[in-house]
Amino acid sequence: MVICIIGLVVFSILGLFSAHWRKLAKEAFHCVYRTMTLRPCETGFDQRLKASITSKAMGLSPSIGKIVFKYFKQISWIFVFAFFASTAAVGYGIYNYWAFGNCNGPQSSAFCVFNEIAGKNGISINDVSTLNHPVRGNPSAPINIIEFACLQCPYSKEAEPVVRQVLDAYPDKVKLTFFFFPLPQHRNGQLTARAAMCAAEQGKFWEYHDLLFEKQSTFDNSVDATTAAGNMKKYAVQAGVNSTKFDDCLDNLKTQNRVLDDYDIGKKLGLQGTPTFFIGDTELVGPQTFETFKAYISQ
Amino acid sequence: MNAEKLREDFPVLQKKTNGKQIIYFDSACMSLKPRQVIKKMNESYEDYTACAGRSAHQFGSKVTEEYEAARENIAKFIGSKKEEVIFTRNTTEGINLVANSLDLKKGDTVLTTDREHNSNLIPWQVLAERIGIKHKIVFSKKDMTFDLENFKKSLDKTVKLVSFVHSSNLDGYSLPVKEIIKISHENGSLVMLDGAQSMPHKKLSMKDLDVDFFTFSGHKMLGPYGTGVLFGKFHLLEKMSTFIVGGETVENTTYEKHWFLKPPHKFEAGLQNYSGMIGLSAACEYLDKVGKEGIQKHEIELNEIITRGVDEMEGVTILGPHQPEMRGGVISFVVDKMNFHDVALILDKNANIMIRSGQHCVHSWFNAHKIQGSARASLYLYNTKDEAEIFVEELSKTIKLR
Repeated sequence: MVICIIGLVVFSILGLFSAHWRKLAKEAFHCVYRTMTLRPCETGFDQRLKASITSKAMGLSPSIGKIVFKYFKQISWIFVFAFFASTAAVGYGIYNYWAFGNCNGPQSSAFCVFNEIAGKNGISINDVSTLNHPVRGNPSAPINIIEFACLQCPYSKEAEPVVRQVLDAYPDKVKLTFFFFPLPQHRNGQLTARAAMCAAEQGKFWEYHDLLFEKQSTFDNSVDATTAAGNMKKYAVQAGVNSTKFDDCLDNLKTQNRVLDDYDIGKKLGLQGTPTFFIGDTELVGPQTFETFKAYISQ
Repeated sequence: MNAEKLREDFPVLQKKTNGKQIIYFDSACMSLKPRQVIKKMNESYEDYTACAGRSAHQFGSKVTEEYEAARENIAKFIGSKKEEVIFTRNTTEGINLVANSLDLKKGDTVLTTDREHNSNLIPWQVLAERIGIKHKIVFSKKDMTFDLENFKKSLDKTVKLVSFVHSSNLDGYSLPVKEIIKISHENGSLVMLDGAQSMPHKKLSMKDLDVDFFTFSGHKMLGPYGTGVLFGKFHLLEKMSTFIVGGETVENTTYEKHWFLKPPHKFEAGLQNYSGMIGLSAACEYLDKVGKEGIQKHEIELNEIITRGVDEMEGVTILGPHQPEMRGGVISFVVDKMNFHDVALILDKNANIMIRSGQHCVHSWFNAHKIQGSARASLYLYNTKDEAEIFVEELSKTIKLR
């Protein structure tokens, strides 16, 4: 009977901790084997499980007990499907972890449930205007890679060398347009975006961008906002930005809104993390290899 | 008889199982054990472990003395002579002993009823296959009572043995054995009764019954596991061949010959279950002290409560005669649209009520009647009115799950 499949899984897991459950897991396996070979489970294991579950349900209320007893087989099937579906989801998660790493950042060993930012809101990358966004490479190059990145994001930093390699390899063919997408889990993400926006005001975006990636550890999540802001100002000076104008700009509401505008676009596009690249209609999430870019550029 | 008071003698009833008191309604299969029986058994292991009838040292003498005292006590309990009590492991062994030692020949007939436990069915089927005896069945009436007329018609001169169940474990019904024995003897047939379900509940005297063989188990009458008795009239036992042979069955042997002891010893081969029989003797003493008449009356009173309750439930049918006094302490029932195992298991898990479910080793009857099985509550001296009422209440909750 189907309930034995659930029993087998549950008791096998519990069996890791106690011999009592291992015995039940063995019984469940026997029952599953009998069921699969189209024979009834002669040990009565399935009926005992059914009685246990029904009596627990009766304890909640007689009517719940009645439903459980009457539709036991159907409920068991639902659980079996739910089990396989969740196993598949877990498998997919493990694959993602293997393929893309930990979404908390490569330094973190903690697991993270992928932060659902927003679903797609009906817009596509083709609806997004790249006007007034920093561009790297030949502005008249025909292929435009649009990058959504967070300057505090280690993956965005990790992706950078390949991006540079691509731009160097195709000087007349490829350019890169930058959008801010400061992730909420990065406490200084917004600050870095505002600071880079202010550097861009003075035509120093890329210098500042490169400097921030280089100094990323000085404003990571362990660094408080005040210290991080101090560091932003220090790097502005290093990048050759006028510090008075920079300071004015940094706390300006207008700057903040412009960052939020970028973020909003990202949300509407349904971005799941940074960096996200768009080449034409193709969306690439996370750091990519040179070959991947090359393949899409050649198309 | 005061059940509440008696319960104090049963250690298992003083404990809680899964945090609750148990309601044990499966005594037709296995009875609980009072501390008096357990104590006697333990004493034999702790104080005088030895071989009976062989070793001459003090422990040897003590165990021989206790073992033979147990035989005498049990003989008194069943109204027979000491030499007529053969110790076995259970009722099944007693039946097999008679089946194999009675020297039945090809063409001899053995009669059984239509609701025999497998233990009083298979031995005859095997003999029919091996030596060609005839095994005939006396079918019951429609109301499941014994059909005396049908029985009389089945009797002919080839019927060497009438082997009937005294009280059925299927529905608790007891056969009119006195009449059956009288009629059989008039025909020149021997009678064996399977008393597994009757000895624990009925006051019986082998002498008064005039039965030729009577076999019962200890474990259903407060005694230990693996204990049983075969009663046989001495002159029959004397003539009968041996069954299992070896140590303790002989007076003397040479390389060529052996001289068997007299009954019962010639039937008791090998080292015996001394502590078991000493325990069974203690169980007989206990039952005697309580009084079996009182026990049976008590069981019927509880059965009345349950039968009344079950009668009010829709789609629940009691197997066998409807009157509780005809079923003693057994209530075997079928619930429409609900599997018998589900009924038993839910009562167990939900209310700590233990009953039996299945075909109760009477597969043949269930197959013939095209019924898959039944749930069976069976009572004994330690059950109470409160328990019977709780059972009715919990059963009615359980069947509402349908």
